Parts: sequence; C-alpha cells; structure tokens
Amino acid sequence: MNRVMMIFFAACVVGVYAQAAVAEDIPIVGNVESKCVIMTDTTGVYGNPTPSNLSTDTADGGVEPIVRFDVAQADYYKALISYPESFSQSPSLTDTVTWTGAVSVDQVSDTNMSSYDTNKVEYNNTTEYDLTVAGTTWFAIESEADYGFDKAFPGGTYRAIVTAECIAQ
Amino acid sequence: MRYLLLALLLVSGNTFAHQWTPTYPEWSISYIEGIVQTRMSLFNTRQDVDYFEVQVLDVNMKPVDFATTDQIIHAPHLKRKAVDVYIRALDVDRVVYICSVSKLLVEGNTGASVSSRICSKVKHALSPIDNSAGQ
Repeated sequence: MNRVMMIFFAACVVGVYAQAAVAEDIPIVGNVESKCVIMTDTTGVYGNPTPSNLSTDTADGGVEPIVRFDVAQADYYKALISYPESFSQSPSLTDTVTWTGAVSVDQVSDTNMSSYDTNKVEYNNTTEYDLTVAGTTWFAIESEADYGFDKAFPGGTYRAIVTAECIAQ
Repeated sequence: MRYLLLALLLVSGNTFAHQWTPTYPEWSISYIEGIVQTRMSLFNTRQDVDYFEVQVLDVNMKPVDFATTDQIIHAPHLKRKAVDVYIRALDVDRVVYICSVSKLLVEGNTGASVSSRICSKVKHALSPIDNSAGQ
C-alpha cells in the first residue's frame, strides 16, 4: 500500500513540475512584413557661391540632402526621387529661375545594390529606382538654381522641397 | 564595415522616418451598404513632420473619391495611427494606390527639405460575391 502511495505521490510531484515547465514556455511571435521606410538622413543646405547661384554642392558651400530608403523585402517597391523645380519659400522673384539637379546612390547596405545607378530611369526632374534588393540605400540629391542672366538673388530665405516616394509594385 | 553600417542604421534610423503599411491592403465590406473599407497604419518617426495626407489613386495616379475620419492626419513624432479608408464598392476596381504624404510647414530651415510619399498597392479586389453585395 505504501508503495502505491509513494508511486502516486511521485506521479503528482512529476506532474506538478511538468506543468510548471509547460507554464514557463512563453512564445515570442514575430511577423516580417514587406514595408518601405523613407528617412531623411541629412537635410540639405543651399550654398551661395555666386550672387546668381544657389547650390547644394559641397564645393559651393552647400550640403546635399541624403534620403534613406529601407525595404524589408526585395522587389516590392520602387523609389522615385525628384529634385526641386521651384522654391517653396523665397523672397519675391521677378526673373526666371533655371533649375538643375541629379540623384545618385550615396551608400548601400548590400553590394548587390551597386547596379542601382546603372539601372535607374530618369525623366523630367525625377529619378526612378527599382528596389530589387532588401536592405538600405542612401540617395544623394543635387540641386542648383540659377537666377536670370547672372542676376543676383535678392536677400532672404530660400527653401525648396525634394520629393521622395516609395511606390509598391 | 558591416558593423559600421549596422551602427549607422541604429543611430540614424529613428529620427526622420515615415512608414505606411500594409504594402498590399485588401478591401473588406464596411458597415455601410455599398461602401468598402481597409485599415492602414501610419508610423511617424519624422521629428520635422506632424501631419500627413491620405491619397487614394487610380493606376494613372489620378485621385479617386474616398473618405477617412481625417483627411489630414495628425501623427506626432513616434506615434502610430490606424487609418480607416472608405471607398464606394463601385470604385474597387479603379483604386490601385493608397498613399500617405508628409505635409511640410511653409516656414522652416533655409535648405532643401524632403517630402515623403509612400504608396501601398491594392492587388486584390473584393471577391465577386462581396462586390455584388456591396453594389
């Protein structure tokens, strides 16, 4: 009888411990979803190398804006980046402004992204990249504005907007 | 080099970002007859932006009529917002993109700023049964 009681007691103890062990299994559930994140790494600044020129080129005293795209899955998105063609804020301008610019890959997190600049499509002021590799790409945007025919920009604050778009495909 | 890139990701990744998910939303029947809805999620880690605009567009990026509780969404820094988008069931086949666009204030710093737009693509229309029920 004692042996039966002992077996029963042992079974209960093992059961309790087993239950405790089960209770300690805490699952961690994660879900990787496709997504695109656009980040402004560096806000651009216009330099004013000559009275008629505003430029983000470092040689002209400016700072090129850097936009970073993070994509979690390859081939889900394309990036469209447009350099500005007008000021969003400026003093009153009486003459025309000629805009030029360019977009290029600045840094990549994966060497397979090295073909992005080769395969990019440019139209108007927009550059289109197929984000065919998962990871992070940094794009540098050049912007330059020339006022009239060597006319001096009036004094004041100038601001222009770069557009960065991530379109699902 | 890899660790340097990872460090850059960690250091700079949470400052000025804008996230709009899911990538491929799907329509579902709403509580209003003839109207379908989908739920989008906006996550703002851009310190320089507090407001976003929702756009519903066709294949040519032309606007399609839609409704949300707020067309301009107030999403302060590090806030996640769920956005319910409603369209007419008749327009289900027309809608291709649902986008969020950052709204920049006129006044600000003197350099070029960045406006960000992320567009999700609607790939799956309602099933024929649901569609007819909506109409």
